[in-house]
Parts: sequence; structure tokens; C-alpha cells
Amino acid sequence: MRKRSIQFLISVALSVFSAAAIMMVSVLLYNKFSQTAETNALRNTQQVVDQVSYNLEDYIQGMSEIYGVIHDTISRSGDVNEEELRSQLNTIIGIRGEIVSLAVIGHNGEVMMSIPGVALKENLSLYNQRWFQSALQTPNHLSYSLPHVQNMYKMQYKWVVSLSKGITVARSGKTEQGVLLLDVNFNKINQLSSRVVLGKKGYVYIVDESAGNMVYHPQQQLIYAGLKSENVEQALKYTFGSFHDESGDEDKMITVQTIGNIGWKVVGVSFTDEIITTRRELNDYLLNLLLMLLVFVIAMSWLISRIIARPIRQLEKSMKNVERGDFHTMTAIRGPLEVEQLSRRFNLMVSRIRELMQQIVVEQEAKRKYEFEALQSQINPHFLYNTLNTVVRMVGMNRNEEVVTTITSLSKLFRISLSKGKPMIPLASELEHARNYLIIQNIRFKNKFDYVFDVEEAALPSLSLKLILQPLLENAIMHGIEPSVDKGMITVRAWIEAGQVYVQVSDNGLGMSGGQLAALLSEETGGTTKRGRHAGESNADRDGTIVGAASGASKRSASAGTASSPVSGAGSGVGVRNVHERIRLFYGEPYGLKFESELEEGTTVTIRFPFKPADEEADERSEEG
Amino acid sequence: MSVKRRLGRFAVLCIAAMVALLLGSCMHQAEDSSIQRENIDISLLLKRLDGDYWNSVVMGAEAASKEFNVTLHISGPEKQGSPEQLLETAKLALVHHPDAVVFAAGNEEVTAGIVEAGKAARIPLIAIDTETEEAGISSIITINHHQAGRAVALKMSELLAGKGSVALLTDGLGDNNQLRREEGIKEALAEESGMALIGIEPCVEADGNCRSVVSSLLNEQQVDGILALNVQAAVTAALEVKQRGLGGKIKIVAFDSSMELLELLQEDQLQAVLVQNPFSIGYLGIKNAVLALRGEEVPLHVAMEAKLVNSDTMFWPENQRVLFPFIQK
Repeated sequence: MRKRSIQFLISVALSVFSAAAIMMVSVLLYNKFSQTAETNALRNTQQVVDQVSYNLEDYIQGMSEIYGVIHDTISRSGDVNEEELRSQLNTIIGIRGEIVSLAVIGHNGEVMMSIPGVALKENLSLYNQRWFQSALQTPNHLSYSLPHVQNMYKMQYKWVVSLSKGITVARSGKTEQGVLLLDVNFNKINQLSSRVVLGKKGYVYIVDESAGNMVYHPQQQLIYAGLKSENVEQALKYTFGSFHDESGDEDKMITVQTIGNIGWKVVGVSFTDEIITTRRELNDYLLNLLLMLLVFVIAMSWLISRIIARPIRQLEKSMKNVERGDFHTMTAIRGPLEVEQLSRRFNLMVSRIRELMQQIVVEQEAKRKYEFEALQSQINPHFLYNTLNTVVRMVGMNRNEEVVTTITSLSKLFRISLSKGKPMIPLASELEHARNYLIIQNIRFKNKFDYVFDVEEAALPSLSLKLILQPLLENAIMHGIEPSVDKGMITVRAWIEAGQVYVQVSDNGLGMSGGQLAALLSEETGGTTKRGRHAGESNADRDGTIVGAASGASKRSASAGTASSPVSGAGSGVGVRNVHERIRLFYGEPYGLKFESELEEGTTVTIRFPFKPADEEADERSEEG
Repeated sequence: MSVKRRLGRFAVLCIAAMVALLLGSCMHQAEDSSIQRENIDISLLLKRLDGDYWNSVVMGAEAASKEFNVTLHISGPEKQGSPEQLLETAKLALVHHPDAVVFAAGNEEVTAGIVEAGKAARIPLIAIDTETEEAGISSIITINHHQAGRAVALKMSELLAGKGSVALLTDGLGDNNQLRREEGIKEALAEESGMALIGIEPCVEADGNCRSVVSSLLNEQQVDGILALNVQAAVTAALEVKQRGLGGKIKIVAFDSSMELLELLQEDQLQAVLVQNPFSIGYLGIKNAVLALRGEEVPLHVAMEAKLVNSDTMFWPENQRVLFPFIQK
């Protein structure tokens, strides 16, 4: 594919355009998708964190309600230690499996009652336990402890969340102030949080808002062991919402939600690289798609451009052929509509050109024929005019016999010269025509010359142009015999030699000089046919010649082959040149007239043309016409 | 005609391209699923599987295996077995061609055996709770038992105000770690002028004679303090002291913890325990194995921390986590 070729241009343009378009769409799609992916991830994280918060809140709410029920039950009972109360409480605890234990503790730290009845530790000191202290400090407010190991019961170290609040109880008839402790299994909270998955690696942790202590973390052990750390400080600044944490070695997205009235925060951690992984996958996919589309588009554009360009190239090839002159080239009509139309137009054009050329040929031929006929027709009128003048004169002198002869000859002459308008007649007819012409001229010139016919029998059937002898005879009489004082002699010979017909007219008149001979057939002699004819007419009255300018001749010879122009002719030699041009027009270059002349000796003109036997029928018909 | 045929060819090409696109996207998906199937097999060899300490190690290892997408194969004798037994287990574990081995061995001989087998299999080896000089181990994660021994001895010295006679209870199995602890203790006590080491008694739990060993020790000699190298010995000693009503008078300091021991600690039958973080040891063992498999650089020695805990400090939140591992059931 060359540069700047249609195929190349279309391929490249289409490919580049498509690539750009695809690229743009890809970029837009990529941006949109990745944005959506990120938004979705964020929303998903938020929803999960919210869900965890709601669950925890519900759970804690449920616990505090149970706590309230227990609190009421104990407060209303007559005695803390009565059996009825214990069984009531046991039932309540039994319903909620996650309640580990409950206890009523006096302000002095004495355990007034505990369920289930597990042995308490000896030398138990509850004062420094946080849940006890907070219940003492705010007796009317239910406090939740952080998850801790409950250290009240023998051989029992359970992770619990302690709910504590001040309570007034009746014991042994007395009313005492105390603290109601409800330990709730922390596993439930663990379960709620550990089930949460954010992406593949993401997780949720719970942190205590006041001190930043970790309430729950899937890798709590590692965090306490210092093997992992969590950026709690930053999360604590938020009540809810999301932010990016880039402090660690991995970029994380943190989502915070606060659980009301317990002071915990649920923090969702999702890893940005997971979103990025999705984005990368998308990226890879789009890139693959792009590449494949590109290959496809390039192939397609190549194909399309080929479909367009190939017929054009074919058209070009055809044009080249036409350029070289082969007008028979035809382009196969195919390809796209425009190219197809172009091909059709081209074919039409070529055939039109062919037609025009044909026309030119025809026209040229017609022109030639016209010229030919024009030349032929020049001969008759002048002669007729002169002859009729002679006849008039003879009638005036009562030379009736001569008049009859003249008129008869004239009639024959015209019959032959008409010949149904055919340009060709048998040589016999042409000779007959010449004889009649000589008869008339002999009468006109009062037997100033004699004439003789010496004709080979074999030459007679040959076709000849008509009226070729008359101008030569006329020339011989006007310029050879008439100016001469002696009686002239005209000899007409015809023979066949090497398949060619020779017809010779010789006189024994004045002859011509070399200059005259040369001028005779040369075109430079000046004067058009029209002028010549005009001149002929003006001269006609005086001596009956067509053109009288050429007189005197040297005994030199001139070849007829030197003259070329078929139309123009001048003064003296119009008739002769006419014959010469006609022969050459008809038979071609090598044929024509040949002059031999010597001053005071005479002139011989030889006509040469190819032998062509006449069709007899045509001959007969021409005789009749 | 030719235009039609060309259009036909065009359509065929279009369809071919579409098919190629479709295939391309399918192959992409297939690629994705194959990545997820990749997994690491790690064999965890422990010198024993019972006891709180080793439970925590396993928990740590499990936490790491979850994090790093590792399939964990745990093996080891139920109780403390003989070195041959452990070596046998190690060989059995290697038959399954794990990608790495994390092991805890009681003595040099076993360690050497495992290292040899590991080298032959050309896989990374991680030693946990095993102090060794053996070459060819990617990472050694343990406390310094010698230092631990010293720390315990110094605590005893502190409890006895620098003056008193101390008895040492060992497990009598010749465990490497315990020997080092013993060395540390001896070294530290020797430095303290007022302290005297009056006896080293093996307290073999399997025999069931541990209690009588402690009893005769207390009967025969004036003992101010007892150092117990393992949990079982510590519990036995504390119970004996408790029975005699000498709780708090005879000071006991021990290594590692158990529920029972913590109970005794709270009752002041026992004054201090030196606790490690077995969860972390287990976790780091697996983590370093994974890192070594990934070709990342792994520190050869990972020194773990040991903490002395008494009844006052045991319920500090940070100690709670160590002493009472989360049991997520």
C-alpha cells in the first residue's frame, strides 16, 4: 500500500478515527465503571458497618431491656434471697443463653446474691473492678463495661460485658443499696462482628470511644501482642462517615458508625487495593477489548478501502490502455456504486470516443469523396460551354453535318461522363470518351491535328477513373498543338505492364521547358481551384482553354510524384493536376501522372494505375446510364 | 455479483471477529479462577499438643493461616513424647510434601533431624520456641529462655528480699528450653550473694510422683522459695504449699500459665508467673514461613517477649488478653 493511496488513506483514517473513538469510549467507560465500583464499595462498606451497628445496638438494647426486667423483678421482691425470686430470675436467664451470670453486690462489696450459684472466689475484691466503680459513681445510669475477664467466680474466667447499675433491694427485712451486675457473654458480640466480611480482606472492629480501647477486633490477639496495629485515633475523630487511611503500608478505606448510649464505635476497614484490583481487571478487560477491536477495525478498514480502491485502480489501468490508443478497452463494471458509475461513464466515454473516431474516419472519407467529386465535376461545364459556342458558330455557317457529328459526340461524351454518377468506368468507355472529345475538338479546331488510338485489347476491361484522359488531351491541344504552326498529331496508347495499366497521351506540339514541367504539378504555383475555374471561365471566350497561363515547354521530364496537394492547383495545369490528384486520391501515392517533354518536340503524359477488371454487369449498366 | 460475494465475506469476517472477542473474554475469566486456587501447605510440628500454651500456639498459627490463605497440617504427640517420636512425626509430615515446615523441637537432635529432612526437601524451615544454632533455618521465633530463667530467679530474689534458699523443680525430660532456663536461674542465683540453690528436683508428671517430690523437698529442707520450670510442677508445688497452709510464706515463681495456676496466683499460693505470648509465636511462625516462601526477607532471630505477672497485674487488660485467650466458640 503506497502512501497517499486511497486504500492507505482510508485505512489509516478509519483506523485512527476508530481507535480514537474506542479509546475515548473506553476511557469514559473506565472512569464511569471505576467510579461506580468505588462508590459501590464505599456504599457497601457503609451499609455493612451500619448493619453491624444496628445489630449491636439491637442486641445491647435487648440486653438493657432484660436488665430492666431483672432490675424491676429484684427491686420489687420482698427479699433478695427468697427462692421464688431466684427461680424467676433463673427463668429469665434461661431464655437468654448469652447471660452468663447476675449478681447483687452491696456497697461494701459483699455479694448479696448471685445466679447461677457458682462458688465465688475467696478474698474477692470488687472495688477495683470498673463496672462496680461506675455503678457506684452513677447509680441511676446503666453502664456497660468493656469486654473483660470476669474474675468473681472460682475457676471461671469468662470474657463478658458487664452491665451494672445501682439498685435498692430488700434483704432480711432491711432496704439496702447495692449494685446489680449482669454479665453477658462477649462471644455474641464477637459473632456479630466476626461474620462481617468486607471484600476479601476487609473486616470490622469495635472500639471504645472514651479510651480508645479495642472492644472487638478480628485480630485482637495480634493487636495486643503488638504484632498489628490499628489507626484508632483517626477513627475516633469521626462519629460516622468514611475516610481514607494511608498511614499503614496498605491504603485503607475506613468507615465509622457510632453505637448510641454505649459509647462504642463500629469501624469498617476495607482495602483500597481490592477496589483497585477490580479496576485493574476492568482495565485489562477494556485493554483487551480495545486491542481486539483495533485489529478488527484495521482489518475492516483495509478491506473496505480495498473494495473501494481496487476498482479505481482497475479503472486507472483501463485509462492507461486508452492512453496507449486501445479504444477497445472495457472496464469491468463492479465495486461500490460511485465507482461502478464511474466505470460505466468511463466505458461510455471510451465508446463515445471510439464512435467519434469512427465518425472522423467516415467524415474524412466523405470529404475526400466530396473533393474527388468536386474535382471531377470541374471538367464538364467549361468544355460544354466552349463546345456549344462552336456548335452555335457552325450552325451559323450552316455546316450541318459537322454540327450533327459534334452534337452526337457531345451526347456520347456526356453519357459516358455521367455514367450514373459512378467514379469508375471501364477503360474502354474512357477511351471512347476520349475519342468523342477528340472528334469534337477536331471539328472545333478545323482539323488542326490528327489522332491515333493504339490500345492493347487486354487493357480494355480494366476499370479506370473517368475523365482522366480529357484534361490531358485538352492540355495537349491547347498548349502543344494549337500554338504550333504545323499540323499536330495526338497519340493515345494503352497497355498493361506488370499488372498495371498505362495510358499515354503524346503530342508533337511545342513541348515544355523544365520550369514549366516542374510548375505543372507543383502546388506552389499559386491559385486555388476556384480561382482557376474562375480564370478558366474568363478565358473561355477567347480560346476555350481552362487555364491559359502555361505556355512553352522544355524537353525535360518531370515526375508527377513531386506534387502532393489534392485541392490546390494553379493556372496552366489545373486540369492536369486535377487528374493527377484524383488518381493519387483514389489509388494512392505511387500512382499518378508522368510528364516527358521537350521543347519543339512535344509532350508525353503517362498515366499509371493498377489493373482492376470491371464487373461486366456493372459495366453494362453504366453503358445504359 | 462480486459486491454481494464481498459483502458475504465481510459478514463472515465480522462474525469471526465477534467470536474471537467472546473467546477472549471467556479465557480471561478462566484465568481469574485459576489464581484463586493457589494455596500454600504448611506443616506445623509441635513437640506436644496438650496444654494451654500449645493451644494458644495453634490458635496463633490458625489465625495466620486464615490471613495468608494457608492450609495448615498440625502434627505432634499428644503429650510430651520422646525425641524419636517427634522425629518420626516430622518425617511422616514431610511425606505429604508441605511447602514449608514450622516446628517446635525439644532437643538439638530432633532439630538437626528436622533440618536435615527439610534441607533434603528444599523447603523453608521455621523454628518456634526452639533455641538452636542449627544452620538452614529461615527464622527462629522464641523467647530467650536463658534470660527468662534469669528474670524468674531475680523475681524470686526480689520476693525473698535477696536472701533465702530456693529449690528448683524441673520436668526431668531434658527439654532444651528447660535446660536453658535452668542455666539462667543458676547463673542469676549465683550472682545474688544471699540466694542459695538448695536442690534441683525432677518433677515428672507422667510418674504422678511430682507431689511426693515436692512434699519430701519441703519436709527435708528449709525452703524459702520454689522455682518451677513448667506448669505442672508449679501447680503441684502451689497445691502442696496451700495444703500446708504456707501460702505466701513459701514463695513460688513459675513459667507459663494455666487456669489452675492463675487461680492459685489469685489465692496468693503462687506469687508470679512468667508468661510468653504463645499466640504470637504461632502466628509469626506461619507468617514468616509464608514470607520465606514468597522470597521475602525474614529475620533469622525473632526475639519474643516474656512477662512476669502477679495477682495484681493479671487483670490488666493487656495481660487479660495473654492469660485468657479468646475462646471464640
